[in-house]
Amino acid sequence: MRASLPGLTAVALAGITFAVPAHAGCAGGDGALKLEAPDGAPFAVTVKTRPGTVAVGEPFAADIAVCGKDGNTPERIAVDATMPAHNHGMNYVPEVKDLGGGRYAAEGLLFHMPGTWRVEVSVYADGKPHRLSRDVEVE
Amino acid sequence: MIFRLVLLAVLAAGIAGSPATADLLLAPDEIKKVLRHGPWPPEPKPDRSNRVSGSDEAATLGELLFFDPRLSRAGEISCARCHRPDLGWTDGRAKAEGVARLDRNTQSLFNVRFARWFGWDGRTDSLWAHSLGPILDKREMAADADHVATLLKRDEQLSALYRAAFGRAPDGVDAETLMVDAAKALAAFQETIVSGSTAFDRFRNALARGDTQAAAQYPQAAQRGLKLFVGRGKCHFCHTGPLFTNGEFADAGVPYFTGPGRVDPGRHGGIKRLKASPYTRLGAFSDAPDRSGAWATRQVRQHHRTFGEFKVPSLRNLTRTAPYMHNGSLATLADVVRHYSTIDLERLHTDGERILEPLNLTAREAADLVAFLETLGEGE
Repeated sequence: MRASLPGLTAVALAGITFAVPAHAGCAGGDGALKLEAPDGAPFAVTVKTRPGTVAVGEPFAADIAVCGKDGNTPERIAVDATMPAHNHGMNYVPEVKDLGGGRYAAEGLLFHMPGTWRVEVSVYADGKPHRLSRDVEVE
Repeated sequence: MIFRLVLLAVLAAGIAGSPATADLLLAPDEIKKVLRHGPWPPEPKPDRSNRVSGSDEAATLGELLFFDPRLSRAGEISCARCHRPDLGWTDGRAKAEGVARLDRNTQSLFNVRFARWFGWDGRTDSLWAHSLGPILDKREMAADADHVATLLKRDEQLSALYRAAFGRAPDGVDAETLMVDAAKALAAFQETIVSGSTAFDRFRNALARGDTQAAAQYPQAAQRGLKLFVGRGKCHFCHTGPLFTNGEFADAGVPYFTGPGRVDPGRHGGIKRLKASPYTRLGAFSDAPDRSGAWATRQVRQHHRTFGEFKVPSLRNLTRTAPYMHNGSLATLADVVRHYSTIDLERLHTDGERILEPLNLTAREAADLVAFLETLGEGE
């Protein structure tokens, strides 16, 4: 079932209905981190981890919402993380599943050290990556 | 009256100056880091890729096999040849020796059940898969599937124990499956090798319950060493959690040349072997129907810097597992501390992590760090 309302696109999927309005799903809050984007970036991204608290050395997943400005839609995304102070990234490549409607699930992330990790989501549109990131402290 | 006042004053001064808080050297942020190194032991979880993980019957079979030299082709070498219980489940040598000498130090089996990767290069993703290695390696036990299968079928006691553990007689089971089952029984036994509580654990637990008086009993030198460990030493970045290892790999600046023109590729070679092996959590011999736990094998990242990286070992029971490092090149804990104190950055991978730097420890600081490491041993 589809319904159109001004400024909103509602999608019904297997009995679950959610809206992907411009930025409304990417406002952050409720445990979701809003990633920082360069000025004029055509996308906003939020990331919410599963479990909510990430433990060093334990695998975790991330639910990602991508919202496009001015009708921009993502072709795909890539997810990664680095420790800039230590000059290294993760030892595993996250598997990303496109759930539709700008929603993605990334599995198999692991932070193997305590400290500051930079979570990075690259959103591809017109073949070009738009990189958004956010630093998080892991204890 | 005056005597009573003086006595009360002396008693009050004694209580105010009591060692309960005065001898606790750690600051609140340091205590927070220390608490993450426990509690010990972690909750043991069964290995779902091994259907006899946690089975007493399998552990009994595994223990017998572990000490049985007939597992080797020539009938002379058992697992216990290199993994001696009286030597911290290692052999006290710089490099392991089976039929021939190997290039690496024998790793202790203490707490091996808690690992994600096995071996200095992480070439295997389960304890049962790793137990196959020495059996098949021509330099170690030099056996094969037929040899192991014959042993299980012909020895009455082993055959009966196999039936008790696996619910079927070994006859009629193909040789490769029997060999893998033997490895799974060996793994079930090795899972029982868990180290006990240490002086550090008692200190950490006292801090956790706010018992500063009990915590203050922890030796001052060890406390100073611990401050270095979670502070300027940066040891806690790799030696994390209750096991004092993050279970991953690092370049610690230890040379990886094994002989003229030969190098040890470390983790880089380990990942290649993992991807080529049929004995992984992704393969047909895994007992996990949904291949759970295989995510790491599927998603592990190979990159240039893994060349020359080796497993970050646990620091528990170090006093029993000398010598140290992947090639057994450092004889004592003092040598290990000296290595990190004077580390040559030129030896580190150019693409590698930027964590290690020469600590330039004073003699006292080095002794303190050793004193702390010694408290990670049982009975110390």
